[in-house]
Amino acid sequence: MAELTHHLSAEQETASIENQKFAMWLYIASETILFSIFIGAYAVFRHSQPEAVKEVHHALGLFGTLLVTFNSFLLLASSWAMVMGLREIKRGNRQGMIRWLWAVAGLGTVFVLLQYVEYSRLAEEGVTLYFEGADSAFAGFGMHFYTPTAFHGAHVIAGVLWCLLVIWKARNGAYDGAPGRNHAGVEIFGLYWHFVDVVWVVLFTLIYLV
Amino acid sequence: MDLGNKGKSSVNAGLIAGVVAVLTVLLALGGLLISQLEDTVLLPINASAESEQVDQLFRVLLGIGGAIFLLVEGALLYSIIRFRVKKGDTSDGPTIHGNVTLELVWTAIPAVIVLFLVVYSYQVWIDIRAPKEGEMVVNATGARFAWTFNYDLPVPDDMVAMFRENDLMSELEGNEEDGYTLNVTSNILHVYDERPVVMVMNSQDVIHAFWVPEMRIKQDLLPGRTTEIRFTPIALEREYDAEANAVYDEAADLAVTNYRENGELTTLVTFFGTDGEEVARLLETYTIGEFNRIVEAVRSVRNENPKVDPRSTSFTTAVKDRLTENLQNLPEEDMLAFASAFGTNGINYNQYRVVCTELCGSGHGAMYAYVRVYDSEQDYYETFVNPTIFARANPPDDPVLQGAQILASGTYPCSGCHLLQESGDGFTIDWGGLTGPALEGVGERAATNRSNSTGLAPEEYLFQSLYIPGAYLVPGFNNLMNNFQFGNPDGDLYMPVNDAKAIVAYLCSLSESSEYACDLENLDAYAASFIDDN
Amino acid sequence: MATASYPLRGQYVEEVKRPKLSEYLRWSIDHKIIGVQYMVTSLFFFVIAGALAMLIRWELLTPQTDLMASGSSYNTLFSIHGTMMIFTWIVPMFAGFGNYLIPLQLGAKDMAFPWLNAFAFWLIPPAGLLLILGWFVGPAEAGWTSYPPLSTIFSPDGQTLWALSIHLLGLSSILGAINFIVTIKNMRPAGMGWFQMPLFTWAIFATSIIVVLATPFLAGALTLLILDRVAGTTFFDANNGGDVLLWQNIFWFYSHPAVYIMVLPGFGVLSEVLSVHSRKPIFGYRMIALSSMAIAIVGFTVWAHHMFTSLQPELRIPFMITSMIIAVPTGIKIFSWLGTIWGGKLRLNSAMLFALGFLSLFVIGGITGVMLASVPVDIHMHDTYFVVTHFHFVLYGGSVFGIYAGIYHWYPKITGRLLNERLGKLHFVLTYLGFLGTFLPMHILGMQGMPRRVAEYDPKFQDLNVLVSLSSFVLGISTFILLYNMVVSIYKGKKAGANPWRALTLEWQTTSPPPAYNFVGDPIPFEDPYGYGTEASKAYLDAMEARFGGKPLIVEQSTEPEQASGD
Repeated sequence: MAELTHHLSAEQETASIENQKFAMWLYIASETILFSIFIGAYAVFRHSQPEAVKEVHHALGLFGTLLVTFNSFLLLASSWAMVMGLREIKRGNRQGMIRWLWAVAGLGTVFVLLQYVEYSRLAEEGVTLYFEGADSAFAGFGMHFYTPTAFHGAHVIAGVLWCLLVIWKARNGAYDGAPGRNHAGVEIFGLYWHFVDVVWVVLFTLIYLV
Repeated sequence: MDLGNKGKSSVNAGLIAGVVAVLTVLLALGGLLISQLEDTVLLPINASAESEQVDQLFRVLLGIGGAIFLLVEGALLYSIIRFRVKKGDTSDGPTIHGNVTLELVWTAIPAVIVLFLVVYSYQVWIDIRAPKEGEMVVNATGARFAWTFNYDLPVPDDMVAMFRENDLMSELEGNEEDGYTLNVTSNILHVYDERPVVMVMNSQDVIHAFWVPEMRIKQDLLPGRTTEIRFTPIALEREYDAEANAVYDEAADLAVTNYRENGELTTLVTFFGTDGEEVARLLETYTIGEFNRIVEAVRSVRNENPKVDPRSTSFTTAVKDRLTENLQNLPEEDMLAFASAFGTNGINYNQYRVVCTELCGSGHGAMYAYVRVYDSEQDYYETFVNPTIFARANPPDDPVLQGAQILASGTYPCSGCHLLQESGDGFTIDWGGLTGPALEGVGERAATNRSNSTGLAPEEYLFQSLYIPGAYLVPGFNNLMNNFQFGNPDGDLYMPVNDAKAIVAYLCSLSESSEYACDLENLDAYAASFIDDN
Repeated sequence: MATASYPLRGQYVEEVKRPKLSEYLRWSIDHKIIGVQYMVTSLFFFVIAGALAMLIRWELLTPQTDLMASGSSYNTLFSIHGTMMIFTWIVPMFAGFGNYLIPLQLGAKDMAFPWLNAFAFWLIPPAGLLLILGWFVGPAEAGWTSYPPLSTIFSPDGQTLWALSIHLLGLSSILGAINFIVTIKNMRPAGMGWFQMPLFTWAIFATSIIVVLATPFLAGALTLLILDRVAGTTFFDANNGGDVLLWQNIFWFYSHPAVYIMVLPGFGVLSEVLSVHSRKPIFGYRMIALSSMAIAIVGFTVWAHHMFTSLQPELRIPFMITSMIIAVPTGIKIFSWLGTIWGGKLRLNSAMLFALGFLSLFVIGGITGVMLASVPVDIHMHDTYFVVTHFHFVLYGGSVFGIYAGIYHWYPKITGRLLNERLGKLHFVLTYLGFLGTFLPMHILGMQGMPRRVAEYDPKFQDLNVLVSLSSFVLGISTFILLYNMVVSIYKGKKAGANPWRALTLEWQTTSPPPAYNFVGDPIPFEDPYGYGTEASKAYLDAMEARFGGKPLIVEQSTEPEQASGD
């Protein structure tokens, strides 16, 4: 049974990059739909229980809101770092890309940790995943909030791990070679990371800004 | 017929047009024929006004579908026969890629048909949904696995007086000016000819659905929501049923015997309706022998002339002819009373199943009830409303009988899970549920096995089982029974303590021997302390 | 790239040996191995789910609950039957066909992502195992539709395992679909534009788009269900701020497109088989291709016709409109297929018989579907045996017959041997008659008042139920004829040669089975995958025949054992 790894021609390489990017877009489409279900559930809840949402914002306080805003900027910054990193590898600068990717992984990790802090504060205030009871002031906010945000957090964690993998592969020379031709893996990861960021922007806007 | 040819000669075009015309006529006729199946084999009888509209719509759908069926299957069969390759022929068929005209036609025609069906269906839907004038409201509750139907029955003044006499005015709602109503629960849906009904429905646990096939109406019951369904029942002619007569006669005799033994008017009123009081009077007036002979004469006339109105002079004359001399001078009033009570077969309604169609658990198949469409408003009042109100105004003193009547009325949804078949004074219990323990002979078991297992007296065990069924599970059964509650009269599953005590008294009595009776005084004491503790 | 429409003469290609059994039992990134793995696994689950159906029909011989210990046990039977048939039989079986055939039909060496392909398959055995494990903790019993609160508050632990299992199966489906879309879009050979693709490829493409866009809805619904069951959330608990209709809407938003996922590939198979075995081009190729896309799109707008008795009454009419509309593109296909066989030279072999059977049964299912689309009629028929028989006509009479046709048609390509025709015809007759006896009477049962999902029923329905059950036993037995045929023919079947049907699509222009790299040199597709009847197509096929040797069998096969060709 023949192995299918053989050197690709230039044409086939481009085809391969194109294929992988297209596949990632398709995957992002399906993930978008999945997230929109949870986001939709939150939106409906918010529409029918605005007082509960107010209660939670109140419980969070200024510190909580600032924390989450700061966190959002961190994630945006990580996307910018991603763009920088991709630019470097397109120029053939492996070291430069690896530095930027460490920044991405680092910022992603801090994001997750700060989210954990946020969750702890909310839990202390009594916002739980399980339904607290009909007379609770938060009236089911917890489950509508934790579901999309925790789902997002899981995607960030997966992204950080993937980022580390990309860094490891880069160090082993996987993206070396003719500049602008071997970076498919990095670009695919970049697409995923930007997607995760966009989801957060939507969540942040819907939950904290509106 | 070569589909690919764009026929240039007029002969070709004419031929095609002719073939198409003939085919269309044939298909239309075929479709029409098939649509007639609806009446004969496919759909059940029409017991509601809505069902007639739905059936007509279905007939049209069936006709159109039938025509399409004939077209497609016909073309298929024809192709298989006509175009089958000849043995040894290895060549290909003609290279035809399509025909624009044909493709347009077979896109346009279905589109038009579909448009027509949408408009027609929409009209039927609007009609069926629209609120009707003078609707009767019935509240229905679905619970795993039984139906209960709740009515607010208007109470006539003479009955109000009965409630007042027996100090039961608290049972009634309303006031002197606007009139009084009595809230009644039953496991049978009682409606009557041409009176529109709107069901207002709630579920106590999971999603159920209310369906009466003969009426073509269905609606889900959704927890957390109240849903509605409307229909207008139609009474239908029934065939003469000798067996039903025999059953009715037996039951009538039993009611009479019971009255002779216990003297409770309720027994007669429950069975005979407004005739009950008259029957009581007749029983006082005539000897047993005379009474029986008159009844026999009435029945024989009825059996030979089933369609004749028992109250008519021809009927009463025929009866008199069969009586011996000394009874020939029966007063007119009495004759009419005998004829009315014993000359009908008592079945003045059509009965259909109410089926639950949304999967609700292990007892889903067992969750059905009956709907009775009475022949007329008068039948509805005489057979259901008045006897029910009368029974509530005059509850039996005997708590055992009280309990039996409560269970039989279907006020509580026991029938879906328990097996019990008993009948007696003015009640019939016919439960076929299998999800919970059977109740045949439960009195005996409560006094022996259960008492040994729980350390409670039998009446205490039974009482506890109503409110906290999970406290002791009969081996082999799961904790699936509803917890009735005595605290909140407006809440779900409310069972007042007096009802519970009566039910326990009845259940206690269910045993082969009378050795296992309940201690009703102990029951009172236990109930009091139970309420305090819970 | 060569510009000739047929390859060089004289390049004789030797017969290729079949892969060993052990190669099918382990991880492989060869799409042909994976395709067979999908198909065999699916057939395995088909037999299990079929056995459950036999138990259901056995129970229904009498109006009481006697075979099963309780209503709950019976509820498990049809819940697992439905779940398995949908998620572990039809969907992965067509994925298997797609996996095997798409690269071949496109002249490619493999799918775009071979590793991902294998990964998607290997999600299925553990998912199936989860489903079966549910038996030990109290299995799922809320129907394959799993409506809360029955499936949340009132169901045992097996329901959670059920939800996890479907999650895995859904993921497998999505990953496979991404692979198909990229492969079909980007890996077509020169000369094969969108409208020169085989219709099976079109079908898989349309199906895969639905999978990518619809399956995440199922994943979302299942996630919320699992959270309600294990984390104390109340998304679907009406007494605590939730809504039971939320589940129904999200679930059916996936599950209606899901039925097109199940039937569109069957349509694709039908187009291939009907054209090849009538020796005629597809009638209205473009319309069939485009109507598949139309069905895929409109299919997303009809979902609440499954909820005509629970959805708010005001909202029901729009779904009636869309549900009726979708009949039109489906009708176009049926008429186009009739146009394909009309005037052709029909070879009534097993593949063709099942394809024609598909046509005859699917149209009935389509007609009852239009009836169910009408709200007043559906109010009567919903949740009765009328619905059960409607979907069995389109899923068994449609999809499964399509699978059978595909098996008879492509088994020679996959194994290098032909299936026994006598057994094939016996299989067809028993299946067709057994099917009619089982599912025609159910229309009457439903209309007359028998609800679905019940172990006990009104005794007046017993006679028809007995007829249905006995017919279903015939149907069940007929399956084993096919399975026996498939196993025995590997060793005893007549050698098929490269192109026993003298078909024009690319999978036939290589040996049976194909070599590991699929083609020798660059395969050149014929200008029209259904261009039968022309001199050019004859020349192309003759050239291919010379290349791969052996006399192809193109006459309609008799049931007598013939002298094997090329042996």
